[in-house]
Amino acid sequence: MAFQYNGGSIVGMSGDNCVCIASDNRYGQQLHTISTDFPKIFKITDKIFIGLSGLATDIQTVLNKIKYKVNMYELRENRKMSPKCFKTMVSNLLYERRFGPFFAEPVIVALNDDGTTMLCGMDCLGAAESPKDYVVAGTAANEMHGLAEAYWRPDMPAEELFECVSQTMLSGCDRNAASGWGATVTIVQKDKIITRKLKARMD
Amino acid sequence: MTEYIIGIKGKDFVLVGADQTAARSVIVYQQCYDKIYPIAKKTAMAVCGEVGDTNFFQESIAKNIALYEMRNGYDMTPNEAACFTRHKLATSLRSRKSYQVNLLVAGYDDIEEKPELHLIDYLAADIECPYGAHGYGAMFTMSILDRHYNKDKPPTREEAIALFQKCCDELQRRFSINLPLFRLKIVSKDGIEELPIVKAKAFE
Repeated sequence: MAFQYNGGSIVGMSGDNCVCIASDNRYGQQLHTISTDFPKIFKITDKIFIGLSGLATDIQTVLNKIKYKVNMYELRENRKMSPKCFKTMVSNLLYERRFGPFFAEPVIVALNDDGTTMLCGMDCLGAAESPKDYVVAGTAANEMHGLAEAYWRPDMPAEELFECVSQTMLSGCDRNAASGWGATVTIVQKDKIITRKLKARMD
Repeated sequence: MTEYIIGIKGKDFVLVGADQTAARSVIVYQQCYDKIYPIAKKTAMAVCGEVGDTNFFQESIAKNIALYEMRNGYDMTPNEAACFTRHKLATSLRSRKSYQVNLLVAGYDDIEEKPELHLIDYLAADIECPYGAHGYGAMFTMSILDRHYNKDKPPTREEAIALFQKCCDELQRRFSINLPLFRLKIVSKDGIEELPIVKAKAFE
């Protein structure tokens, strides 16, 4: 019930030396939509993006905690956090609250220094899994699974990956009441990051 | 939930409105209760929710912001004030004492020279929006704001007050709780200014 209170969905996919992550833009309280400009994807470094779905307050709290830890790491170690380290840090952060968890499910997409991709999905307790194809989270997760499974191919170039993620997000949110009001999609490549806002069924 | 607070962002001001009813169960104690409090020179907070928590939380935030100004020599911007408020609410959420307050933080940012309106619900989810409301009344009036508010051309003061009047009339027409009088305040670069009391006019 806590996961469905505010609504929201995330999808992340990996391609040929590029990753793509998308979220819907809805922020609501059960059936009442409050804002249509609440994307749930956040930039951590130039190579790491995290999408957080679930209860809005916990999304913001977890994001603040993550930003704090990343900043302290960069100040102490004088280098950027690697994706593997970031994934472990988020997993531990969530497991610290094992018996009173944050109702937030992260999806992490990243590019390693050697150009390979990292894709990771976690539940609210920090159980991380790194599939090689796609990760979905949020209220429309079930709807998006079918589309993502059908559309994904290995080693897709950036534009094709963008199309794939966009279609998955749009169609998934069309069929889910708690997610929607457009989508925000971000493609991360070695030398550029492109964010696009899509117009979907606005309801 | 039967209380109503609303914020409408204009080009260089934020209009904050709240009902003036203080009621418990079927008795109305007061029809002139002010729910909009100044928390900084150019930031106001409208609070509704659990009876003791509203007062306590609002005072606690206002005093902490005053302390920040004393320590650092400058005011908190509305964004910082909202962030601080959200943080306090979020940490209290999973503690023994949680505050059941829904609030609006409205302010004018002198540095960026723009108005800001933050909607924070009782679970401490903070969203910056052009207009927003809390309470059952929000379900009646948000659609009026969706229809008449133009994001590309934010309203002037008169337009914002007319929009607010529309919302009050709608509440009088369709909401079963009687909310006859509304207090209105404008937060702009000149500070917090109180406007004349607004009376719902649906049946005049």
